[in-house]
Amino acid sequence: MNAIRQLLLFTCCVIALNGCGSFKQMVSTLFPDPLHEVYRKKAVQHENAQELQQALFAWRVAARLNPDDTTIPDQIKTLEERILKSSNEHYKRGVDDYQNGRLSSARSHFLIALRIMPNHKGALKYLKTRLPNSENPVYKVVRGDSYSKIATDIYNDAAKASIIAYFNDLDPQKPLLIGTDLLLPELSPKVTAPRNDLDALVQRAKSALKNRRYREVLKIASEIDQRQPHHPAANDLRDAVYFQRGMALLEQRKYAPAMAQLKKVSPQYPGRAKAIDRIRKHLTAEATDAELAQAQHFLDEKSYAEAIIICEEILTQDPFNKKAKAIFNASHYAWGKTLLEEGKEAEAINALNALDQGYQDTAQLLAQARAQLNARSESLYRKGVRLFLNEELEKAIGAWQQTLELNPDHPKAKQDIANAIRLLDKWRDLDQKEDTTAPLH
Amino acid sequence: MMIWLIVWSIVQATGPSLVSAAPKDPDVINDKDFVIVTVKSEESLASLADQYLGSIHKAWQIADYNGISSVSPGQRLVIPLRPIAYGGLDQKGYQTVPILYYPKLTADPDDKKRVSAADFDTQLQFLRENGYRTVSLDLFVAFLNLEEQLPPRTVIISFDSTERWVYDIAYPILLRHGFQAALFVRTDRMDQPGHLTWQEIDRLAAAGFDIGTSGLSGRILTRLQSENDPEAHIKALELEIGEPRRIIHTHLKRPCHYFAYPAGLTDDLVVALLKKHGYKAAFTRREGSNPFFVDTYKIRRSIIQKDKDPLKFRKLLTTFNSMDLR
Repeated sequence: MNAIRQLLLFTCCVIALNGCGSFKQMVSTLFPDPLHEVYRKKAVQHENAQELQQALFAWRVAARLNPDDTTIPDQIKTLEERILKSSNEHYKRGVDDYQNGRLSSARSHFLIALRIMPNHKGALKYLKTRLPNSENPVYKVVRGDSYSKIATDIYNDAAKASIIAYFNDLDPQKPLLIGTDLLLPELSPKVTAPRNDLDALVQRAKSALKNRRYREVLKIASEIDQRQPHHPAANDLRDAVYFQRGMALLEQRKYAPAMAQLKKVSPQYPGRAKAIDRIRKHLTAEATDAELAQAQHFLDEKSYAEAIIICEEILTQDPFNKKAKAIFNASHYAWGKTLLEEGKEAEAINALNALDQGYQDTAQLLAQARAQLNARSESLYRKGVRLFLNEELEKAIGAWQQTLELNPDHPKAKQDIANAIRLLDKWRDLDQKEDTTAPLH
Repeated sequence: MMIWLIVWSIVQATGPSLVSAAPKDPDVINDKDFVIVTVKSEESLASLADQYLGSIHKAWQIADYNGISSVSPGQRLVIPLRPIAYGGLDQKGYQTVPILYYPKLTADPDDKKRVSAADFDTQLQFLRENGYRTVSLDLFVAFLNLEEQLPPRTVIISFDSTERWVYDIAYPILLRHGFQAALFVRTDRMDQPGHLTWQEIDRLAAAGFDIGTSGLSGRILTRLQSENDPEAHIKALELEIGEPRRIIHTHLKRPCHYFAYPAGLTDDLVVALLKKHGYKAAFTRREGSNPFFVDTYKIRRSIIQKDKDPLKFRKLLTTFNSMDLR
């Protein structure tokens, strides 16, 4: 009873202070609109069913029905973020599918992006302006296709190649990828009729090309470009000019200028790669010939080392180059022989060892060099023995070291050097003892 | 408890924001996206649609959203002021709108080429009984632009003729079934013997017909004789496209926003000129139903030929394209 009395008193207070409107507001706060709960439930149901726009709408209705429900703004914020994220994910997948020619899948993703977020401009743009409607023919690119070929097949006009590229948002300068789905724009027969002015120019250029008036062809190609940028015929004409010029220079064995012309030809132009490969081989051969001439010159001038270095470089690239091998052998042989004559047997042996033993009298020269070398080392050894016997130990060691330089495998020199050194050490010890025991003066 | 209540009432009395936010009509909650109303005794779905959505034809939107077919006094309703499912998109696919094009109707039931009045009547009856609704071209284009939503089974009926059968045969049958239609007129034929007068066209427009044009002379725009001279060609096209718009406006005092291509043929140049002259949409004669992302200047229409097989007619009435859009 006390509680009822208090409530009545409170109600009277409210009406007295605020009037009937505020009383109604108080009631609505204490007893929320039952529709509010209905829309809360609706919103949750829609969210669970992935009907995010419907859920958002229901949340907003619920929020208006009960502004005191403080949980709703957070629900709305979270849902808006979910909508944005999800629609963008589908949009990105759609773009990826579109760029890879999977048009049907791309359409699905763009439609889902729009279902989730109807104001997604990117998805709408792709759907309305880029993806073909089912009424538009779609062409799948096969091996050997080019924009010009498709334009000729479909519109009977190669000049429409740029229109195909434009409608498909592709670069007409780049080769078409096999399997790409191309939207073929609808063009009436009159529109698809080739432009007479451009056709006439192309014909003129073709005639000039036939007569090898290359400058004229290039001039016409520029004119075509000015009238219709990226016209494939202009590129084709230019390619033909540079290719023909390159091939003519190749036949004249003017390899470097031929290469410069062929480098201007589009990479996919038939025959370009083969021609460039041919030129590269020729250019390499030319360079080798010049180097061999230089090596021969060094050989003639008895600059054997230089001749050998050039030949070694050539043989590294081309181990079967006969001329390089011949100069290499001749240089080594002549050099070895000269060194032998100069009494430089060890160096002569080094030079001759690089040769096949069967090359001229290499084996004989090598034997002679080794014999001379042994004789000389033996003479030096004997000199060392004499010096040792004369107690000139240091000089003896020097002679035997020279012996070892000429013949590192000398059977006695090493041992004799060791004995001489030991003896020298003993002498030095005795000298020192004598110095320390002698009286000071 | 008592003290808290008194404090609360004082806060309410002094808090200006809540007082000022209170709606004038306490039974109506207004929002930019919706209105929440309590139905009064004299109100109906149509009157609510008229009051809040601007057209009695949008009554279905209220019914659809609230899951009802009629209203009763005291009922609380949420009236969406904007579409919720744009483009008729849902998880199972998207809405499409078939547009039926009748080349000619005849009163002769034995005519072997043209659709007879009786067949037309039967077809409209089928549409009505199966819940199909016709809409204006303005609403249809708003649907294409993702601005409005359409009833689930929307269909558009169209004619490209100024011959008398439009007024004498088609109009009464349409009226009887409660359907509207779009009429595309060749303006050089108007007021000619055997053809409609401007007065009759005005009456059709007043009855809810959309009045568009199929050009000045009905010549096929992609096959004009002047195409060898580009300047003359464009001039001829401008005349065929621009002049009827001006003529219709002069006679009917209504704008003409819609074009039907003679023979249904078009190309990119024609489309460009239609856009230049302010046409909002244009119609071909390519068979098929139209999703919201159809090219607005290449809208499809299915030609209704004389055919006894009702299944063929029903196949043209595709209003939803199923697709997994989860």
